[in-house]
Amino acid sequence: MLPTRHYEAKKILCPMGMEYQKIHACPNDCILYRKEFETLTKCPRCGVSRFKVKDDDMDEDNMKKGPPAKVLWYLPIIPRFKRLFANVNDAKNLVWHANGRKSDGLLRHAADSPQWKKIDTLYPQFGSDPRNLRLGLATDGMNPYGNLSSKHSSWPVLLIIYNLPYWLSMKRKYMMLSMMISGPKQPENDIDVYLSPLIEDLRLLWDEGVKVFDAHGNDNFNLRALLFCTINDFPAYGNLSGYSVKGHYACPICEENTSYHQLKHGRKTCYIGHRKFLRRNHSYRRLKKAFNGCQEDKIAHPPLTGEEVYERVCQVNVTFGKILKKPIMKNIWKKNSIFFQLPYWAKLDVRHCIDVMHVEKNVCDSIIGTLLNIKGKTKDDVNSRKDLVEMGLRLELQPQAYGKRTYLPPACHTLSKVEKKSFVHASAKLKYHKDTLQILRVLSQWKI
Amino acid sequence: MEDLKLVGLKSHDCHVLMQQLLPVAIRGILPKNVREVITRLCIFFNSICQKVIEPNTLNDLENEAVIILCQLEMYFPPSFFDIMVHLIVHLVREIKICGPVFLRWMYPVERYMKILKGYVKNPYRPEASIIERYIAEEAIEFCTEYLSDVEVIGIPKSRHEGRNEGKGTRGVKVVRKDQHEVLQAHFYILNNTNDVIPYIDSHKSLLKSTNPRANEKWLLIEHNKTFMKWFKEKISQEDCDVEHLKWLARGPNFDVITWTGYDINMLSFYTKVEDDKSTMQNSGVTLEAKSMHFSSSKDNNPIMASISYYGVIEEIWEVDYIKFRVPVFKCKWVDINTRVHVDELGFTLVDLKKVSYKEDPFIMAYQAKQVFYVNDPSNKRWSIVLQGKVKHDGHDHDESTLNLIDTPSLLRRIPPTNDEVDNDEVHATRNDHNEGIWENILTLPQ
Repeated sequence: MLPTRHYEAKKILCPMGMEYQKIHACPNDCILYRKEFETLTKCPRCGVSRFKVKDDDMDEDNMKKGPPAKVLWYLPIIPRFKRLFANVNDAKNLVWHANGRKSDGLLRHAADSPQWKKIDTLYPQFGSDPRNLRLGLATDGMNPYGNLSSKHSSWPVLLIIYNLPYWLSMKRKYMMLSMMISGPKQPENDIDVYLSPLIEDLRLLWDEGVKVFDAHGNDNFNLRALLFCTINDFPAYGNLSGYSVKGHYACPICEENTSYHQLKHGRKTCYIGHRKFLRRNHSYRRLKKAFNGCQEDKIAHPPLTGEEVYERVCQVNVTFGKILKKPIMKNIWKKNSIFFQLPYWAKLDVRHCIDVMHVEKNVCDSIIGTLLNIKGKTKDDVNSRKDLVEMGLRLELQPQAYGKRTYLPPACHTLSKVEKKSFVHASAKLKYHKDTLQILRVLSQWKI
Repeated sequence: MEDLKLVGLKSHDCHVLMQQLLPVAIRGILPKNVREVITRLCIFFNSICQKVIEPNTLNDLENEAVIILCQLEMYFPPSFFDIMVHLIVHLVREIKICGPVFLRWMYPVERYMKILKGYVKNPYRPEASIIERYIAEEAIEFCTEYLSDVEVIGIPKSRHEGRNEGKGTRGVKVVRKDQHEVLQAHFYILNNTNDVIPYIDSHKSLLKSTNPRANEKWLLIEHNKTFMKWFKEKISQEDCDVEHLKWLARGPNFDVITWTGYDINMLSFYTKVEDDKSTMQNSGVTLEAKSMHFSSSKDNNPIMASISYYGVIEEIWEVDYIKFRVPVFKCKWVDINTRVHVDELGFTLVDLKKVSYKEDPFIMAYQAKQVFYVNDPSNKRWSIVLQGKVKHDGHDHDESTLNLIDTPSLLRRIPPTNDEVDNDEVHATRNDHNEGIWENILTLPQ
């Protein structure tokens, strides 16, 4: 029998639903009202009320109750893992990486990767039980209001279980929403404040473990879990890792050895000088005119290991919160990321993953924008030509003034009108499979 | 043309554009070196996004990324190199350490956000409604595990499910076909049925022993001519008790069921006629076959080789053997000797206008692999072959069935290029046209 009313439906579902916790937070991201702050009504750092305050209402009593100003929704992960193991099929899938996987030396799954194996050797006790979970943490800002131009941004935190077979681990059913950081502002660097309940649970799962019943093996065991990596777009990468991904040393992997060049006219930093990644005797290193006018003899430094990063960040002290005026930090490491509270975190080689999707999209946008010379997207405009002159490179391309207008001579990537036509036609008249339909719709809007 | 805007290109569109279309679209335009480096960039992205990766190739890929970036530095202005372009250098390192990209990228996460966004019913408390509905969904999801006859939430079902063995989808017709043609199809089916192969071998050796002096070609022709009859007699003599073989030997019904759309092996196929009405392309097929290869009609000593044939589906038949039906595709094949070639970047080009192998147009439906033909913008006569997608999804997987060959890739290999260049020259201007960019800016360059 289907329930006739929403209320009835809720009543039926209620006993089966999992618990969640509402944790009040300071609207300026200073603290969470838990543990020692549990009973406070005002933020001890910035003095803002815990509850929503109406503008005209300055009464002290009203400051002590009412709806909270900002809430963190935490869906505890441990009971959810217990439920996963209570189901026979899921419990079987959770050990797939040890039993069902083909291992022939090819990379198919995170379990084939060196980092996975490194964990097995570093922590043999953890690695010996295939039921121990390895998780990925993904977070990104989203605007819950459709496509309205509102800037509201909520941050869901998702957990991905890498024990599952690759065709299931990224599916909606198995991606666990573990946390919802409500808006309207982005948590930015203060995301650590919000992650603390999750990290505490993860620590518990690592240090002691939890007794869980395994329906597949039909026994009780001590479940432990490890955070394998995080998945983020690049700005969120900076927030989670505590590295400043803007400015001159924007690359978190090259760190201080990022080669950059400040463009005077374009007012941007560009990151050139990739020749240092070439092998020592590569002929490109000897070329001058084709590149930036000099030979390259620098060698790329190997990326920092987790321990080295930890050494750098362990001294960094930050007070979280938006209101407090912070001293301008020269350090490229903004904070001692909360993930370092996990004992194994410094041992991992890749802690935060660069998201291929965003890299690919941005590179694709730049290439197409530059080739088709789309205004606002092209990287080849007057300013960039002026910068070339400034750098003393490719002087043939310098802008020429003709009265009111400026002429930019064609560079080797500039398309003629005929070529642009050919490009758009070639891509717009394709008949292909259904993935491309959207692109075709976009491309066919370009009229020549 | 002046105020073009790139709007509405979503991340996944860029993915497809980058992985498949861009290298095709820039054919024939741009100076050769610039075109090559963009193509190599696309191939690089394609190869790091593969679901199965061979660890030994990763070092090469890492070098490839560096060389591509160096070459881009030669041609593109410095402002092109924002941090995202720089990050390309480090992508391969993460694959080396953390495994394939498809488990670590944001596509599923972003899709999940779309779902969460749909949960917002009360705009005053968006997060609360997301959580409430998530909890409710979790509870229902939990129930579905213990109910029969319900579908699981959150695991998409492939639309090909249950059709792997082949199922017609549209345009069914029963047509009386020319006897000769049906027998051709019948002969092809016999040749490609596992149970029949011992009979084929024995017939061939029989022919050889009776005509010891005949050459290979004559034997093949003779075998083709007489096998069907011989097989029928042999089966009735032997009183074979395999039901399947009995019906096969009896021969097909000359009324053939034809379709214009057919699903098999997680792929959809259309006939060419049906395809012309559609916005998608589903008629391209390729067949990798070990076959006798005659380099010309006078060649009497064929070589056994594995060759990819390319063709377009003309008709889809289900040949009727009364007890069962066998789906075959009748295709127009391209002459692989003269009408297929591989260019220096590794793209396979075919000329679809020239048809050959008219005497052998059939293939078994289960053998067909999908390809897409895209007109080459640099030369109207040729079409470029793009590999079709092989779907691995679907929760009916019991074991990992990912094979290296099955993953669709743009090209099988990275095109070889001469990276060791010693002539130090500036790559700045284009010489073949002089249409620069005009900008209305009052300030003069200093």
